[in-house]
Amino acid sequence: MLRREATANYSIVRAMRGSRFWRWRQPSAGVAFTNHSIVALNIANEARSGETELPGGLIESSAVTPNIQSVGELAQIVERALADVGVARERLALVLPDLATTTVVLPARERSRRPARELRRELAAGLPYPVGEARCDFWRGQHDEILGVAVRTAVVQQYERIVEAVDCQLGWVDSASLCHIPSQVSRRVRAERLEVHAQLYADHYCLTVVRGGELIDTRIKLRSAGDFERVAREVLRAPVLHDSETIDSLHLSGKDAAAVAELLRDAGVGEVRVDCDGERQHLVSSIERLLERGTP
Amino acid sequence: MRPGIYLGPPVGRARRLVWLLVALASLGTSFHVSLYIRERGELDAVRARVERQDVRGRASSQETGDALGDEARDVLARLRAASASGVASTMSSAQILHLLSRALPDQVALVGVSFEPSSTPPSLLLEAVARREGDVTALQKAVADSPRVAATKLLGERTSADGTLSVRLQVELAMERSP
Repeated sequence: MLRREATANYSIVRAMRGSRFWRWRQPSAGVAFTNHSIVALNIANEARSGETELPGGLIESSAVTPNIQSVGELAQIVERALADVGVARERLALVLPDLATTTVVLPARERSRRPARELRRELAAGLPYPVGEARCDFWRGQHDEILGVAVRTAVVQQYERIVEAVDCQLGWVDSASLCHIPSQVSRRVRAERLEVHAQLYADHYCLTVVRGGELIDTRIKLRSAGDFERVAREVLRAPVLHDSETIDSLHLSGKDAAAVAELLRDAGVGEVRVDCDGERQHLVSSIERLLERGTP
Repeated sequence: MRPGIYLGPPVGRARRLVWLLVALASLGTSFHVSLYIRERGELDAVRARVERQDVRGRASSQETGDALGDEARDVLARLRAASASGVASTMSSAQILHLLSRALPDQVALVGVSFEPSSTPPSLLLEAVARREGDVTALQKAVADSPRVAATKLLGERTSADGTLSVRLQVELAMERSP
């Protein structure tokens, strides 16, 4: 069952969701892809979500090579998964695997803002393929820091073909972890307070470091199933990497979040919160984040 | 602040097209509005000029007891009489006025119009004053050119003491053919 607090808490949004115009325009369903499963969500009437396991090798997340082995086969699986949650011919929010994207965090400049061309050039420097083959987007935080994300066009177009094949329209497209970052950095906190957000999945995790409400780092790392210690060690490295003494607040969500939280509490991290425990719940909240944004 | 990263296909093209169409529509509308305002202004100016001339004409008529005003009224009365007399079945008052306004040269003043409804075909008798013989010829030719006119005949021409020519012109109207 969907957690109540995960839905949008804006009264106007809630009021408008009942209107015919809003339903016609706003997406109310989404699908999230991982290497081993897909999660579908429909919030049109009563929130319904479902997870479908995928055959091994059907999706191999990569930022460089096309991820999906057979678009037709995956489209059939997605169509069944959407039908199970009551979705047909709707606008779909699309949650991509984190590993299909390349990210960079550019700190704020003191005097002037970077022009878009310069942002693109800085992002291009870290791409393993020509920037002309990438779709890039940038998000500016409240301290003028920049989160730059790129996805290879050939990679994202495979996922878009899936949406097209199931006779749906495309809504907002973002990756599973990056879609949470704007809400993670928008909280009002005192300066120099170091927050770490860890989003855990079966095969990787995403660490986001926020200091005083400013995004300073985000990194995606691979992990193997059941390997909590490595994740915990990486979390504990965060203050060292960013010239701080301790983590003031740690938020965990996703697969094995509770277990990793236990390890970190034992290691002496003071404030540890588990936002949700389980990969499926975390992916559902990712889809919800995109649905809150409406249409692009 | 934007809600977040968007990695979907560009959405700007469709929006730009919509904005372009809106801009074109508003340009067209403003062009038509400006045309309307200009035409309206010109129309108002013409109306004002006509009213001024009318007021000036009335004032001079009242001051001098001008015979021209009486003549004009007489012409109008005769035209109204024509409508009631049966000529209207051949040619309406408006058509007669149109014919006269088009056919009358600048140097010719119309002093009278009378009708012969009983003659066959019905005819008009125009009495006019001109400065030169050429103006009389021009009047005759212009009237004869009208498709409503069958024939014209100069009944009389008299030279006044001030040198102007008074002419009487008979205009035979063409009978309308039934379809």
